[in-house]
Amino acid sequence: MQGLENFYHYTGFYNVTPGHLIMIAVACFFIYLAIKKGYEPLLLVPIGFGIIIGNIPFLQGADLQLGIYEDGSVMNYLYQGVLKGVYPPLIFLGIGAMTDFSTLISNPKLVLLGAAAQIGIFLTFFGAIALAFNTGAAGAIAIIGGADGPTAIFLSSRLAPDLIGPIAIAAYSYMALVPVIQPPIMRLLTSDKERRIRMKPPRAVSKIEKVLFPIIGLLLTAFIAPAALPLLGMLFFGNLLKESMVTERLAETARNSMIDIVTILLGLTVGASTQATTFLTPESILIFVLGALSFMIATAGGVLFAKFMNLFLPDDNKINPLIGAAGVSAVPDSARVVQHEGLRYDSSNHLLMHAMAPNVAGVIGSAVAAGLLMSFLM
Amino acid sequence: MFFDRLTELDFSLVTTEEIFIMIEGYAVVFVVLSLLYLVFHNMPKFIDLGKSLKKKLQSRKQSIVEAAEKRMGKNGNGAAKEQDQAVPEISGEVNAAIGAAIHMFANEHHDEESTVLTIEEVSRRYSPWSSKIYSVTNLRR
Repeated sequence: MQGLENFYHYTGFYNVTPGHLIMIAVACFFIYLAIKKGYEPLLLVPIGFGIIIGNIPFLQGADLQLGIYEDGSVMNYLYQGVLKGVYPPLIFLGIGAMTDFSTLISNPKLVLLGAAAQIGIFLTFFGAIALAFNTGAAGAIAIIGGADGPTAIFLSSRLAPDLIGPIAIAAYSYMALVPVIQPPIMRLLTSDKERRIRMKPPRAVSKIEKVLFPIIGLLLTAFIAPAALPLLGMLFFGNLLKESMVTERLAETARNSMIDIVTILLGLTVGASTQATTFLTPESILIFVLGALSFMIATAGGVLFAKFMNLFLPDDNKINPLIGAAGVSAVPDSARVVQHEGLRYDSSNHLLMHAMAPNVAGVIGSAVAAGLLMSFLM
Repeated sequence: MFFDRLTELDFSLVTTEEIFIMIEGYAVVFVVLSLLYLVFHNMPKFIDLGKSLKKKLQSRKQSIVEAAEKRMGKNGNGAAKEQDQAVPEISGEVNAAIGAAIHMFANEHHDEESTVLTIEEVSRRYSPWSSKIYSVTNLRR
């Protein structure tokens, strides 16, 4: 009988708390969004399932080596890739190998929209400090506005390792909710006439320009913000593998098998890091609120800067301000949202190609911002 | 507790150093991406400059060779000269049209279908699927 009682003490039924149940419900909601609504399934399914894994209740303090925060557990070993900042650069390698920068090269002024949208990061930094977060945590929370999951994880692993869980979940949630968050802001800040602006088709880009882009891009960005080297180095390296056309096998591996493996490990471990005991705190909710604000400000920053640029551009070469919203990273979701919004007002005005330019510039911009915050705050 | 934190928004907590980080950080992001813009805005000019220099060098080389051949009394004109002539640049649209035509030719997506009919003889074998005995409309009487 004693044995049976001991066994009962080890089960999840004995150790469950309302927090565990709330987190499992959140996980089920994520999985529902991914499978039923198709919101970022490649991210939300691993994260959602990871949350379930991380919130299976078990006897604490019995040295079972099960939890993600317990030394020696399998999940803890996998989590080292997050804590040590290994997974995000590998994800960037894959992103580089699958990204075509030719729209940005053909119309380089759109790169400025990617810079303008980073205002969300720096204003949120200000707000987080006003809410009594320390500077490290404020920097890590602010990067959610970059709408780039790997960058957010990379920076929070350096500046606020205790907050990786909520920051990563917030970053990925808002990336998944791009189609919900961005359109109202885009509509609010633009007129009907502006939404119908047709942009000139991008010019053809030569191979030499495509090959030079990752090399010059790395030199320019990493010399100014060397702290962003792990992210930018891998991003541009992946792109060179793609554009050089002589390393097709490596590019293929980076953009398919490797990024898939790392996404699985990253999603699962980030999800599992949200144990109810560490995740369900007022700070986590504040992080979600600040993250949402950051994302909205970034979207508005991009749109407003596009309108500002239009003041100086000739009538026949105006920018459709909707593409400014793609200045937040979230590749390629925000570009897709811009395309969808553009088509709502003019069914033959395809903005996808134009929106990809600020979108990829946003990836570079948020990585540079992360590097700068790291060098300022570490 | 959470709402208490929200109402405790205190801007006096932000030091001048942190404001400096905010402004400087945003400015540096802008500078980095502006540099990228400047370089790639002027990149076609650099590439064209390189191309024209190359062409100039080639034409100078050619004129020296021609002059040398003239002096030696050889006839340098003809097939070799034709080969050296620069290939005219073809626009992306023309390339796309050629590519599409080759693709359609290779995949036989032509407008006019072949009018030759072929009749292949099929041996009729018994199958329960075509059997009248097992037909669903074969009602019992």
